[in-house]
Amino acid sequence: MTAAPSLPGFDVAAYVRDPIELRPSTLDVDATAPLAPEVLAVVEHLWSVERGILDLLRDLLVTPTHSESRVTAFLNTWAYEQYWLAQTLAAVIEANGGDPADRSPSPLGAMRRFWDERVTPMLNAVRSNMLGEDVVAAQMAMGWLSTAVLDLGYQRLAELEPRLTALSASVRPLKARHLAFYADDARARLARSPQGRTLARRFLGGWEWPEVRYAGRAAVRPIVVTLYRDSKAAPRLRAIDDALAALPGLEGLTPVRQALGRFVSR
Amino acid sequence: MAFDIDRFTRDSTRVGWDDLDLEVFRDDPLPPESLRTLRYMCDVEYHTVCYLRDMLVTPSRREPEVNAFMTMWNREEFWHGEALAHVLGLHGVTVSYDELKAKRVKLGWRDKLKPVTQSALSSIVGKDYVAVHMIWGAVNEWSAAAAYKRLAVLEGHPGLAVLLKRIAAQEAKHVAFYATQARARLEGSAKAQRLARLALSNAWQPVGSGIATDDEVTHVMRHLFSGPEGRKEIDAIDTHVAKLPGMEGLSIVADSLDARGIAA
Repeated sequence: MTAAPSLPGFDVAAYVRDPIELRPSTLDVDATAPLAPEVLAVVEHLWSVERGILDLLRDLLVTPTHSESRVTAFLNTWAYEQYWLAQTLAAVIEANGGDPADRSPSPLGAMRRFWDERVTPMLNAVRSNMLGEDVVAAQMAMGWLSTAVLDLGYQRLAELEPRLTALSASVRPLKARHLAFYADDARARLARSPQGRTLARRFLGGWEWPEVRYAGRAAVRPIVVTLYRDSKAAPRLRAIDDALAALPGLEGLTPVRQALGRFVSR
Repeated sequence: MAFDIDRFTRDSTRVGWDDLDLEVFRDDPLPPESLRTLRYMCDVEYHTVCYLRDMLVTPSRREPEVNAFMTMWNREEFWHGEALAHVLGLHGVTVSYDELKAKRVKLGWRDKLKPVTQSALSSIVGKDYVAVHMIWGAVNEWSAAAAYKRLAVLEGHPGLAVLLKRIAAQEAKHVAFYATQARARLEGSAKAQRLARLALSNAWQPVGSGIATDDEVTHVMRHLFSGPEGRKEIDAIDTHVAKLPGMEGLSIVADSLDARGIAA
């Protein structure tokens, strides 16, 4: 497919031709064992987030994003990369005697999941299609943020546990390309759409840490503590907020700090 | 017929054409009716992501096996689109992101609300809805494989024939998945069988009907499947469908050709 000159710079055609296939066979998963229980819990958390590929695709595709053929071409390869990444994380969990299985959601999480699977897609299909193309800008900004937080998670994982250096080193280039696409696309769309900027600010204001919606804050808190209790993590978390806030119209937003603040027990 | 999902995902790859001599089209182009058919096929392949969307709002995707299949299937179909776009490009027909977008936008509210109707229907019907999706997918993949094989025969172009056969071979794997799933889900459930029969006999239309004009659908069906040789392929699909539990006597694909006045 050919790109029109008006589109942003990330080369989707080159990206789709050259996916990073992080298959379990590309990593010495046995060399990751034994992991400390708290570190294994982080890997399980990441697996649980990464494998939600089709949930995320569903949430994007019921909106006007499904018409954006450049975005869907990206998502197509993105899903493929995510699939193999999730398989590799599962293999690491198994090599450490864990069982990659669905966490049982909190009671509230179970209700939310039912709602999100049965009702939200219908509501979103109507609501977002009424909003029109502007919603894509907000979704791309959200995509960037969630990916940036995961990327930092992998970075921290390698610092916490040298056995996971190889895993982290192979995942981060994959995330770097996803981040480049989202940033590029979000920047272009936000720059030309005031309504997109308003929607993005609204969406990002309610951003929650991955998994909190279903697993509950109490279940995710230990993961966040393991990853970010070290004081050198704080500037990097701030850097994510700062990079997001540098996108057009998103000045002053601090969704990461806000989401972290909600973990602090009152 | 068993379907090995681990093997399917492991071996899933994008269709390749770098080794094929397709450059000859620059001097020796395909006839207009074949280009028109190729363009239709290309649009249908790129549109897979919208079919995926409609499936994702139903319980169809809850099982890991279905999840894994859909991820690979979506990518393989996208690359069929890329391969056909390459051939079209050699004929000066450019398929751009902007143009595909314009086509999807033009489908309007009926398309945008599809997730709503699909989701509502699946909530009402429940688990048996998955069986309907699977048999629907099987018929569409059977049709796609037959269409590629027919075009390969009709054109007899050495490079194109190899490419189309490669695509058809991937479609055949998709058939295996859908048909295995459909059979397993229909076998145990009289309700699923009734639903699937009702859906196929009342609502099934050739692949691409929702996105292309009626004229285009009829052109492609006539181009590929008119005459005794074409009808033989169509009857073979109907025979496959009729062998699935509860589908005896159905001849939906032949019926759709008859309805369009395409003679055997």
